[in-house]
Amino acid sequence: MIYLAYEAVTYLVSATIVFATPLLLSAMGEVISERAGIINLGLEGIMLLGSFVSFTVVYFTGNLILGLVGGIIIGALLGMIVAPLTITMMQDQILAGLGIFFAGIGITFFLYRAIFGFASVQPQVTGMTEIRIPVLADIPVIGDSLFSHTALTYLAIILIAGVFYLFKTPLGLRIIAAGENPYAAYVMGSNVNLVRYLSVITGSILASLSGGFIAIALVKIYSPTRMISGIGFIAIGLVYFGKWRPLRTALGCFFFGAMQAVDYYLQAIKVPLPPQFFNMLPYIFIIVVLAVASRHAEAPEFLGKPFKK
Amino acid sequence: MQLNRFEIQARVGVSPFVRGITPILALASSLAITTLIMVYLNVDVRAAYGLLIYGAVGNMTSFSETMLKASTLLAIAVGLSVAFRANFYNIGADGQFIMGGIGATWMALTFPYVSPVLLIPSMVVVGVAFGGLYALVPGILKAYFNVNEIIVTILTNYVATYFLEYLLYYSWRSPGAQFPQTDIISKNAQLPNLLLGTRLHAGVILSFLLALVFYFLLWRTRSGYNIRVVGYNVRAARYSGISIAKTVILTSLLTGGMSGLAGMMEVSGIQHFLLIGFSGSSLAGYGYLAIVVALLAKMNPLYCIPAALGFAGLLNGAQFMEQGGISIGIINFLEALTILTLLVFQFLVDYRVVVR
Repeated sequence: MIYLAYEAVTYLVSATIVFATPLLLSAMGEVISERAGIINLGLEGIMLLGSFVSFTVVYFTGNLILGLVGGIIIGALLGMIVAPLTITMMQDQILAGLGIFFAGIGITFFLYRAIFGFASVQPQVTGMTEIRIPVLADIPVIGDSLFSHTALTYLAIILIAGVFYLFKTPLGLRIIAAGENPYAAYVMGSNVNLVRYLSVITGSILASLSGGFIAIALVKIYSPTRMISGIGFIAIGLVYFGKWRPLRTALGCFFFGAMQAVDYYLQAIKVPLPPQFFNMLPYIFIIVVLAVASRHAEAPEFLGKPFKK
Repeated sequence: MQLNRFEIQARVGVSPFVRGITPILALASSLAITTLIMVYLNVDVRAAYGLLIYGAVGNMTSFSETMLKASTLLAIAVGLSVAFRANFYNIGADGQFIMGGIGATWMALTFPYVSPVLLIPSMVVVGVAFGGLYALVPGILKAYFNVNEIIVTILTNYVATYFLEYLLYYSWRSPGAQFPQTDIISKNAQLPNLLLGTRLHAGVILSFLLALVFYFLLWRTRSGYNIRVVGYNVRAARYSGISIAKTVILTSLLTGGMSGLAGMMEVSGIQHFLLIGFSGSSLAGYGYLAIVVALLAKMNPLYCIPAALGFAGLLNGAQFMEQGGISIGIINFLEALTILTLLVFQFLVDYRVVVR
């Protein structure tokens, strides 16, 4: 009995962190982007392409670093599509995001068929292995679940602190100013559009890495239709839940990760409920959370609005 | 990055004609880019387009199938036009479509022997109600809880998909079927056929009529006026005494209802049973495709008619192309490209770039 409880705790703690990782990576990027005033609704599409590129590179070269570099490049490229459209060309951010979402679905599906064909066995990679942090990982009971993860998980954790700290630096204040009042920022001598470009591209790269994490560290199998299945949109939802603050958003990511962990645990111990019930639960849950949390949320003043000089 | 070597100036007095043809130009250039990519990939372009055109309008069957898909897209896109005009970004049409189909099937499976005179209207009502109420969730959340509707509507798509799967794998699964699907609904529950040898059904006419009705609603009624004002300027709407919340609620019901109606017609008029991916596969789902249709039509229900016909043709043609070895993913790519080029063209129409 005690052993079972021990098993459950170690599994749940570890799985919470694992499931929170992709959300953290893309949500932290989205916090930066939205603080600068740009909603990057294309997150899901960027994650799809990031996961596909990382997976394919790792599949053919076996080199994880190359896979991640590929992900970073495709993320930056997609950011370079979103940014000019929404910033320089001042077009609707929602539509640009939808365009990227559709592009992600279409291109990955097209290329998947072109590269992997119609094989009934889905392609697989060995993927990333956990790095045990010496000493800390040897702490009894929870050491292994807390301190034995892949490099990207550690990156995600560092990212929380990084983004939190970023908003205390002059650059971070410029980002916030670009989203709150770009005209004032412009008068103060800040290059608003440059700040917005950098924020959007950073967010896109992180989203792409997040997709890469799912492909080469989490599932390690590529399936063309259900690779990301809404994680990108959920990440955006969590930014709204987090009221554009990094720590609160991160908390949301962990909370959601825990939900998914419990979900999988209940399925694993064969709770007699249909799997679709567990599948839809996270989506319903996030809708409820948004309903509770959004009442008095104050978005950045110029979120979604172009800066017209 | 030197961004101030050029200056962007707003254009004044752009003719309505130029504005009108931008969607056509966007679609044309997207097709051109797609063609170039096919050339690059060594696809036999002439054969591919031959298949595309044959699949779209080549014979009576493909022409009628294009009309069918157009009516589905049209019904959804007309509702979306209203929603987008009110700044209610409904990305959840796919889920509302599924819920509409579920509602209609539920009626059909529960009352299979009721006379069609009674059964079909009740399927319409339940289908519309399921779709409308499903969209009402994000509507209420936006109107009273300040929740962003874009995220919620997208999330509800996933919930509806899993709910459909649950029904098909458990409660409603036809015992004899190889794939998870329901029994075929009774003859009484099927929309009357319009033309023997095709799948054209009475709902097609309804779709086109509703496009006219919604045009009238938007430009000739008080509610339509309110919807447009709320979308154009929320503050102005508030000061002139229009209830934002009520308008959002009405809009969500209208757009969800139209998607639900499309779902009902898909079951009752075309498939005659409920199956996984009946919203046109998770890849090129009608609910998503209709967004592009509405955008190309500049959120005008009347313009939705040619846009829906065009995209329905492309969709059917693309399915034919897949038999020629070209992945259906190309249609999503085209969707994406059309949206993105439309944005670029809109920019070029509204602004001029002056290089210093």
